[in-house]
Amino acid sequence: MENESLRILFQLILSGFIVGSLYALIALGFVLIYKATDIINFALGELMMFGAYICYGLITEFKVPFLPAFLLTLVFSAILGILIEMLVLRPMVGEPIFSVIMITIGLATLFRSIVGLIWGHDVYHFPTPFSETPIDLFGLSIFPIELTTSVTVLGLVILFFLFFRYSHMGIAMRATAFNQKYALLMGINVRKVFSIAWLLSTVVASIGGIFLAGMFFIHTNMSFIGLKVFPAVVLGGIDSIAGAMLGGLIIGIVENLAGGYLSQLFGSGIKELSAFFILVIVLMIKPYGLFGKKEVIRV
Amino acid sequence: MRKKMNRRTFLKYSAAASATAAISGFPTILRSQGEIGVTSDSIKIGVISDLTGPTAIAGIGMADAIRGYFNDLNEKGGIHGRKVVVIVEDSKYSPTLTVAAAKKLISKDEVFALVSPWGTEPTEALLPLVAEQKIPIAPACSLATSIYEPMKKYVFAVGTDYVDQSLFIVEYIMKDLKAQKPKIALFCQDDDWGRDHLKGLNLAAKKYNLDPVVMESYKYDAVEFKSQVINLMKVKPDFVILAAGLRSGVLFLKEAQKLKWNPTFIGTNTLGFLKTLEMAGDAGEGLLVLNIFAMPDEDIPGVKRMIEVTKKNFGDKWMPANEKIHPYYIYGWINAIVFAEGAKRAGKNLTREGLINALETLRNFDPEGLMGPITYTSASHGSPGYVRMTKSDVANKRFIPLTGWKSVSR
Repeated sequence: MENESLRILFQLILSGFIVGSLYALIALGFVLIYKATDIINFALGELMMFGAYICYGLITEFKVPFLPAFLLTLVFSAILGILIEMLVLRPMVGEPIFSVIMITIGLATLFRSIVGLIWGHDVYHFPTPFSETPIDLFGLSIFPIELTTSVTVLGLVILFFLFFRYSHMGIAMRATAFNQKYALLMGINVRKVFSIAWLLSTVVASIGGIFLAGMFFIHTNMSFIGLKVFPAVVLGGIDSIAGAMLGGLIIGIVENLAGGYLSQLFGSGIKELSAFFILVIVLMIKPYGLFGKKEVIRV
Repeated sequence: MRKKMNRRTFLKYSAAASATAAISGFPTILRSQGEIGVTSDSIKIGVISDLTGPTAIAGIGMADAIRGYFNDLNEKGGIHGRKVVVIVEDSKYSPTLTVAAAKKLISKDEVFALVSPWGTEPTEALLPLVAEQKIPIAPACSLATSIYEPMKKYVFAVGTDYVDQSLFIVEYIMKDLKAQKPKIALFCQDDDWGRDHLKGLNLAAKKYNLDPVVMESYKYDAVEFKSQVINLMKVKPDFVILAAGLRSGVLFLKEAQKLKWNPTFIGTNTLGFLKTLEMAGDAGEGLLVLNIFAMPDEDIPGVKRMIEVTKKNFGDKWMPANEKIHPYYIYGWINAIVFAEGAKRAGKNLTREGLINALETLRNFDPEGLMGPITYTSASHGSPGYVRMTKSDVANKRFIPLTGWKSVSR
């Protein structure tokens, strides 16, 4: 009996980790842009969805096998990210932040509508090469695609850590995020930094979207997951890459634990609400999130 | 000082004002000679459906079925010499947009009646407007009891409601499967649709002295349902009722399969889409699904006629019929049949009140064999429920009826 309870606990944590990996990817996409450009991108969920549909279109319409379709999608996303930065956001430099936010909301609606026009609003099965046979992981069950997602996310954490710590562009991005003016003065090509930030963000969103679609079907409402980015980044610290990703993982785990242990007491809503509860509690103890930096502006 | 208007300008403005008044009053002149939406050779009806929202695949089908039905009826002469004009509006399954669409249909298009507005919550949102405008919903496209209990003069419901469906499921478990003290669990959406099912299941559980039903619900826009699966698995039920949509139902089945959990799954009518089997793959093996309408592969004249008309009006869009035509397509078609019957019985002098009275004369009316007989009275605008159980045949892509049509009483 005790073994059973333990198994359930760990299965819930594992489920939370799997979903949390997706949240971590969105959070990563969000913080990449926010850190480098100070822009709050409300279109992340839609960018995830758009990336997934591009891949879906390549596989189903053009009969491209999965791996080439996946890579092609990343290329398209990279181009899309740069285009969005150059054509939509660069003209907005100097405009009030509210207008910039509204533009990202407008982009979100645009992507949803385009996808709806081309593919309709139905739910489709997203073809992946992953087997449907569950893998046994120390007595717990996990689908191959779920394992791949989690491993990919961990890989991306390490990759981005190395990128920001040791690569030229990574350090340039951190410098730009710290202080744009000084970065410019140091000769950093800030425009290039912005483009790279959007490129990376859109690519990461597409990766997330493809995995999300592979696990939970592809449909236009999958963009709703974008809302989860806010508890994740505020929890982890809105300007910390590692923090945001950890925030995503924590939110996923908390949701599933809450759903698992509290839903009978409080109803199903507790699952989604729990993320926000944790958020409030953490912020009361650590107002800048778990890893955010305290910014003291001396007047 | 302002220039005084000269007489010519004054006459010009008066003429314009009078013309505007005359034009806007024109429909009143027409209307005063008959009922709203009814002319000497036409009847206008409004159909509000989800064409681009979350349940679009079902909503598009419902709207197409109604259009096809009336195209065919109009070719045969219409109803008492009047052609039925169908005006379709998109609601995206949203209650707010549904009310807006209804207001447009009522004030701009001046429809005679609303036929088959899509969705439980949206239809509930229409009820105050419908009562105020005295416009019939004839009939509704929702299976929630709130639509006709307590009775609403202008609203009729077709189809077995969710409470009756649940009652039947437990009857089936106890009488047909002869289960001994089974434990029953429910996975449903967190709204009236889900609550109706829980109510029905618990009513039946009480009747048979079973433990109360354990329920896990989900929010409509939830990403995943893993914790709900684990929670129900914990309870070790013999039967799990899936009152779920396509996505939530199939994801539940897949997660259960992953955890090697094998109770008997029984889906309600919303899982009766062939797509469920396609998307669930072998996780759908052994799935029982409740059925309230005839299925497109059945050898019934009414079904064959429906398919012929569909092919004529929409070409290949809904072909092959046994794969593409789904329960909500058939629901729309049946709703059209019921409206047409009511309008026919109301006679040449068609009024809204006349339609209501005519519908209340339906006794064991057979909608071309597509569902159980329909009866309305002046005291009840909800039809008694007929249901049957089917089993999924994944290999042959169909649902096999396991029982005949059974009537459920509360």
